[in-house]
Amino acid sequence: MAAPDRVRYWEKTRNLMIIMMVLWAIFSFFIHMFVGSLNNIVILGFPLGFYMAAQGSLIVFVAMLFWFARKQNAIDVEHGVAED
Amino acid sequence: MAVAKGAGGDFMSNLGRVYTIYTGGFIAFIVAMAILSAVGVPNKIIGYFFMGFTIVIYAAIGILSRTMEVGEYYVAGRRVPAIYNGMATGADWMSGASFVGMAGTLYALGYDGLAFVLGWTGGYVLVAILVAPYLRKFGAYTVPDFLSARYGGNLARFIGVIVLMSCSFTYVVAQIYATGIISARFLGIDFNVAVYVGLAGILVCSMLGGMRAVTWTQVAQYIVLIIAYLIPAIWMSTVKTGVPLPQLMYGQASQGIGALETAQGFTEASTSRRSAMAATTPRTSSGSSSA
Repeated sequence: MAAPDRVRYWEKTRNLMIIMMVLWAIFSFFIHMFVGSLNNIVILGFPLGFYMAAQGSLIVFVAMLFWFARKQNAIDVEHGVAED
Repeated sequence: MAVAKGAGGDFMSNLGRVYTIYTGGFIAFIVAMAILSAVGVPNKIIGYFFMGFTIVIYAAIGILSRTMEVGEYYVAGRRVPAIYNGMATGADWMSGASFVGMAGTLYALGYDGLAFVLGWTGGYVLVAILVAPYLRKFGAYTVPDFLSARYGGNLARFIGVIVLMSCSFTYVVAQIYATGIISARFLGIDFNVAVYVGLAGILVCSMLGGMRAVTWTQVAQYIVLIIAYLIPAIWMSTVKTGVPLPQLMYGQASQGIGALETAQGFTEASTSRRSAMAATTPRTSSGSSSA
């Protein structure tokens, strides 16, 4: 990989990484700080605060992973380092 | 080992068919056990059949996957297709530490126990972003190896080992405890002996083939586990609420439980952690509970 290409590649990868980390921190810690007030909303019998910890955050994590894999693969392909 | 590689090649190109046949065999086994149970064979014998059969099958897979190649032993040759890798990881997730350990933790700690659940799934996100791609591209076999090669020297390696062991320790203790409890119940032996019996079973499934044996055994286990997890949950959900989707319906069920608890006078104090712990310690076969 040419030098400027490598720098660009790492910039894009790093930016994607930071987006993912921020989203992870929000759904792992931040949103659970509001459990008490979120619990006042009840959907289908689930208090929302409890639901976020039990299923909501997990669903978000899985969706994030699929999105991340697709994005990172696009970056890899663009810079010629994709795995076949 | 040319013969092993050849057999490996045949296996890898027939994965779908092999595991479909396996699933069919497993369902036939369940039907056979159901028939035996209906005919009146005592539960103890059926317990032996279940444990014996499953251990024999997993041990067979483990022995068939034996290998001497380092790459195969540590990382299954890095050529396991994604779906099967997912199944193997899922089976690891769904094993003893979850359906015995996690269930018990949630019972004892309530909402706080969900921290483990968030940690495990959130951890996959962290691994996917920070560790896995670089580990694979680098070609290292273990994370401490990779850390020492990437950052030089032994400090990073040492920290990696400490973190790995502290995380694994909690999980492995839960796994072995669950293994002991289940073996003790199914085989009717003392808990202390059951732990070693369970460990022997695990050893025979994984020692000869390392990661390769573990992956293929776990894919087989996944099929068993997913059927075992889903059938009771879907059944209960259908019977209680009419909708066969337990993930959506358990909110409604937990509201019902809350109402029952209030009606029967359960307060925060009586569902305290200590009483929950007391109710969940394993019993030895002599009937007294062990500490």
